Amino acid sequence: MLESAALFGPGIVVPMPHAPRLALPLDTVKISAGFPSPAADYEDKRLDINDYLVRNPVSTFFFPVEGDSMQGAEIFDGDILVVDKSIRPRHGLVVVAFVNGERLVKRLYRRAGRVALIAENPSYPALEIHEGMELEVWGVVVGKFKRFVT
Amino acid sequence: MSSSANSNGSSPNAVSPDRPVFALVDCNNFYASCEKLFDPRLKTRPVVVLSNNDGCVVARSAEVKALGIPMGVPWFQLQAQARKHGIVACSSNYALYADMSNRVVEVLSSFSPKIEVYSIDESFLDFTGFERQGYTSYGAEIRQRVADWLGLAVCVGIGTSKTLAKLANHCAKKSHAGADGVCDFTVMSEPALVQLFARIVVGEVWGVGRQITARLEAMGIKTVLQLRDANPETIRSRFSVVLERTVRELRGISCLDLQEVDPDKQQIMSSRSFGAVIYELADLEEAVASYIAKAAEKLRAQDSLAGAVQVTSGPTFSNRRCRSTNGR
Repeated sequence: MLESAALFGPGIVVPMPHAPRLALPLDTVKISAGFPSPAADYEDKRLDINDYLVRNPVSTFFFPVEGDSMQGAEIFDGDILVVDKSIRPRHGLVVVAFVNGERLVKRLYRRAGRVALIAENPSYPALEIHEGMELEVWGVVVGKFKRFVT
Repeated sequence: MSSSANSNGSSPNAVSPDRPVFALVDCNNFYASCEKLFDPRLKTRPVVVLSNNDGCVVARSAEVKALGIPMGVPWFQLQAQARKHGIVACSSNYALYADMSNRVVEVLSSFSPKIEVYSIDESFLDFTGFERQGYTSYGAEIRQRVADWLGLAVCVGIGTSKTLAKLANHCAKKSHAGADGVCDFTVMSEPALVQLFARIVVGEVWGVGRQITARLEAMGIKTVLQLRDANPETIRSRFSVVLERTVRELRGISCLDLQEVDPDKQQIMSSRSFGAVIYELADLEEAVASYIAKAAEKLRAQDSLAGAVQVTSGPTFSNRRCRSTNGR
């Protein structure tokens, strides 16, 4: 599945630096799956997947997802996250974070003196970041993708 | 140090608008930093990167440097220290380093129209005409951008010649001068520079290698200051026009344009140490043959001719470098 991208050690994939652009026409007939088209702005235009997902290639990295703790945010096991380091992490954004030697994907909570990493799955408690714990917000998750048919 | 940084004396480095100004941006502990960037478990651990066949240390994190472990040590000699200090060894991953290097260059390119990629982790930027930005704060901005976008730490050295920019970078890295990873010679007064240059050994100057250092020292030239103030004609007659140019560059007279120096053309190294000690002559012959073939390949790739070939082998020396930092 990932053979066209460079694999960088455990679990890190980088976008191809100069990926070939492939703009395909968007179908103007929407497919009914019960959600609004995220590509509505592109109607009657051509869409390149790289352009759509990667706004700042120089600071963008791909991370494959393991686990189900973020399923409420539509992030599932095996998805590939698009992570942009150039975006300032804010309260409410989904982020890749390093905490105590672990690499996590969680929603960043930062309000009223409380800093926490919130899972989007009721079976996972929020991870409160206390004084003395080391939290590094590595980058902001700006999107994800997955291929179903190999 | 920085106390006199802002007193503008009659510095030869005082910058007029048309005077060239260069910055050298250098990634700190580049290979080890790339490894740390993606692996949270490595964050506070001492990390070494090993050469292709996991033979010896080609890169060290700051923690490893602090332990006094030199470059080039074969990994098998480090087992006891590794266990004691929890040193993590990473196999070199040149695809990763090349990608990160390209990203750094791309970020730097947005700061100056003229850039010379000097090595995988160093680039010269032309700052000429940027005086209104304030060179120091521009350097700080570069440092911040690379940290934010790529998570890598860089040091920035700024001077009125490439040689001075390189020296300023060294000062930034060793915290001899400047602050927060940026050292800008153009805002330092002449007395401050004199004081600083008198404390730095001449071997730290760009292009002054071990042999030239020994010869300079024999002449009594031991510090950067002494080389800067040496008679250029004497240096030219005793050494070369190249070293004379270095003297002028140290005086803030820019003699080297971007891209003029190409160190790869001068010498090709193909060497490494073995994963374990070898005892058979046949093993050594085979290794020498394959390293020479590799060197010849590089030579042909750059369209050069060899004037001399030197082959050395010996027991493991702890501070011999086993692989070039350029990696390929």
